[in-house]
Amino acid sequence: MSDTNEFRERWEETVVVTESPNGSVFVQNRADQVIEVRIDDGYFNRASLDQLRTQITAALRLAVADRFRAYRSMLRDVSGLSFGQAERGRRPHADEKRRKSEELHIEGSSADGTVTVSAIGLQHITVSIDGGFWDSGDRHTLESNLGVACTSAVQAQFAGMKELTH
Amino acid sequence: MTFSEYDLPGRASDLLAAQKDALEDHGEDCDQYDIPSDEILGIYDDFASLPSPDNFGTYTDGLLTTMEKLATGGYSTGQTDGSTGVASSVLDLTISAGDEVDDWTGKGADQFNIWTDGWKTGVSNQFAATVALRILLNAEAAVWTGVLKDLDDLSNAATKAMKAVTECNGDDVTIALSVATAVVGIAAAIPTAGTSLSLVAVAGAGLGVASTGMQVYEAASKPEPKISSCCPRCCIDDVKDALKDIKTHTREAEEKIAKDLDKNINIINGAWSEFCKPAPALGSVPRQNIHGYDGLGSFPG
Repeated sequence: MSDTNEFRERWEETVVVTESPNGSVFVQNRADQVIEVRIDDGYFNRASLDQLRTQITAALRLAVADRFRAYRSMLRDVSGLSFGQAERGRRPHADEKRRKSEELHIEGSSADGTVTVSAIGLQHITVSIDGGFWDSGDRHTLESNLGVACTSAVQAQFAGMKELTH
Repeated sequence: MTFSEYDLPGRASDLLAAQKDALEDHGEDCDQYDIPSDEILGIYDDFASLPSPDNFGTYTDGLLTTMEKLATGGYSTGQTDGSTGVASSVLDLTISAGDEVDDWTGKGADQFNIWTDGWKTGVSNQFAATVALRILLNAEAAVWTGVLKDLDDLSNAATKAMKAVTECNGDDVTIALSVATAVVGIAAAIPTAGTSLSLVAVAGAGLGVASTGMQVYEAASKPEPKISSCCPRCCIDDVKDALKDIKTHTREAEEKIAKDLDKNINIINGAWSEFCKPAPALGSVPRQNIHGYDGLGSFPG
């Protein structure tokens, strides 16, 4: 099997799970294809919308870091080589791509538009939850909508990165 | 299977195949991804013909045999098994021959005795010259062992970095070059005062390199070029830069060996009689006339 295929297949098998700082929000990333979000039921019932949004946002930030860590680890395992973050100042094109990626704005929304996840350079992440939807107290639908919004945002990230390199 | 320069065209083909995959994933309207095939297939062409480190073994083994014949005392053979050589018994006969005529009278006998007194120093210097030459040949073998290892590592890393090119990934692969540190332990100059055996200890590190590769120098720091997986163009440019590094380090190592060789040749040229003593006067007497040669004198006893 070629390394290219092995990289892909190994990544497709990879599941990265991240939890928020207070352990109440869980993000599961299946090979950048499907993002699922789960919220602890007790916390959901006692937290305010702002508190929950803070935990979700923090969990997503950590999930991004975990994703790159896991991807790099997969590359190392498959290749036996030392993959690491690109050193700035070596290749102008790589620097430019990185600069643009840090400014890349992406957004993903749930089908009903009640949940939106946006990010700039995968660093500045913002989560919006419709107040009326929050008042309904439907945790399962919120989890599902968050997953759809996150998955959509990741797809937007890949599309944006492809555009950057042209 | 041992890597050789003959594997490089295959590695270039692997690199091209990986670039084609990246191009196919990305689309064909980007200079950063669409690299001309010839540029990739010819990327290792400057290394198409290299000296084989194994070929130096014939010469270093031959020089070890020479050392056996010139050893006036025990010595380290420089082999990785720690084996040692013993003094040549034939040389002892020559040295003791001088003692045999110690009591003879006559100019020829005196000169022969003086000549045998200096024999050990001269032979020891020849031994030292042989050791130095062997060390330099070992260093040569080490250089080309390092070059091949670097080319093996680099071409392998290049293909894998190319295979890791994706839209979201721009990591660098880091490798370590060996050739730059291949000749850090080359011998000092040959001593010319009959102290040759101490040279073996001084330059011991260089002795063991030929058949064993680079492990002697593992502790030395090594340059670490990076190969980008940002896109095929960055990847290829990094490979080219790393190949330039290998060339530069190889040239520096070769220059160091040449400089040390020149230094040793100058020492030998500047003190030729210390390495190859003129024959004693007795040596010029025709064999059939030796009994009529007054310079031999007579044995007083």
